[in-house]
Amino acid sequence: MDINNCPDQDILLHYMQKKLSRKQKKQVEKHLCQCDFCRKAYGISVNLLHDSSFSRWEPLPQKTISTVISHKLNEFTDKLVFFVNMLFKTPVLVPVVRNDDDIESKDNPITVQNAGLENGFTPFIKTINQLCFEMKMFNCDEKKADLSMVTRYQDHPMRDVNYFLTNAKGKSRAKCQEDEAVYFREIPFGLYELIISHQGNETIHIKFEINRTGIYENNDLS
Amino acid sequence: MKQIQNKISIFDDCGACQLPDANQCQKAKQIYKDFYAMILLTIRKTFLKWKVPFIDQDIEDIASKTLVTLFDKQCKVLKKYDFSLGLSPAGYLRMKAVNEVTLFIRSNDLFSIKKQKDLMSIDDIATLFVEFDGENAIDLKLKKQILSAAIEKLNSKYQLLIKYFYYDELTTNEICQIMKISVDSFHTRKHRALKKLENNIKKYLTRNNMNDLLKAYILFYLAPKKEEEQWT
Repeated sequence: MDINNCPDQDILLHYMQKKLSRKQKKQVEKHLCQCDFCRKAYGISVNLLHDSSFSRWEPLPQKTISTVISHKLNEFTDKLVFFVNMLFKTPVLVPVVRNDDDIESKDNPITVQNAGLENGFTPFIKTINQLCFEMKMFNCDEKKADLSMVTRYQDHPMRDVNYFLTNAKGKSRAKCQEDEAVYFREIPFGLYELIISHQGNETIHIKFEINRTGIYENNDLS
Repeated sequence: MKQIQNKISIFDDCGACQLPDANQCQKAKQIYKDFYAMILLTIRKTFLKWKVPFIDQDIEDIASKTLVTLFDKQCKVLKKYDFSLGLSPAGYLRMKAVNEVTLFIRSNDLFSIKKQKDLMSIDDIATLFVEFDGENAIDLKLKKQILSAAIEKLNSKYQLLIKYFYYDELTTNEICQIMKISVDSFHTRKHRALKKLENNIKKYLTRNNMNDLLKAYILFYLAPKKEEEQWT
């Protein structure tokens, strides 16, 4: 590989990912030492690959096998504790939504803007690593209510998101394919566990209670 | 496996390549919609990193050329994408855009113009050293020859590090990214490279029976700290 015969970009790509044989690698390195143009071009392309300003076009970080296994174990123990608590303990609830405050400050334009306008419930919002999960409660009667859920990544609604809502009786599942919210109809009041997954990776895991006054996150078990 | 399939779905063969009109291809439309802004940004950033003159029209031309190369010959370039290399689809498209920019710079010979300017400025700096020497002005060409000969004798990994650090003036983090090493190993590698360079120069001087003044001058130039201690 002479100075005039600069390597193809595919070879440099393989060199970057350390997929070349030892002989080829030496050849490429030798060429990079000799050719200023290729050295600079290679340096620029690698730096641009790691540039953080392109992160919004990159997919969400994938999990390794070890993290998946540890997460599954944690999930199992969490579920165990959750059901044991449901049977023997009264869970300690930390209120996230204060319905009374909301009703009091209904004239305030800022809170009204943030609130679920029709019912007087403020939406339940949770942000984890640039992911913003928003849950609203509406059509509430004495025993049940409807829920709507949206997940946004950097203010853009996410596609291909799976929502798994579980309570003691069983699991219900919904999938969001378009840029729309997902609705769970006639959910009876009680303790719930919600798992949101994107492209097979679990992204958000929340435990909460729904009752007549609103949605409450259960921090005791998380 | 499902995750991978989702990721590379836009790079799969969609069968639309056989269509007479390229505008009917949904895949092309999707890539244009999702990644065109990214390609434009990549091209602009690449030009800025090369530090060569460019206009907005160049960016648009290269962006459209990138898309053409991607979809040309029944998406031949697009189908070359290999997820096992560890690149994301967006990363692959970025690499292709950078490649188009480098081809543009090479074809218009923009780099050599820039290089000439760089050489001028380095010469200006070098003249300062000549002034420092005072009465015995040393030939600059000879010094450069010695230095380049010493660098060429280094191992390729040391050579690359020195050239990135001193010639291309990249930062430590950038070099670590390029060479895929940690900051600690960068510093140790740099220290070793300089040590070996010093030894190479010493060998070169003894072999060619250079005069003592030149020896002192070059050693001072390479290892200022040690020399300062000796003089004080």
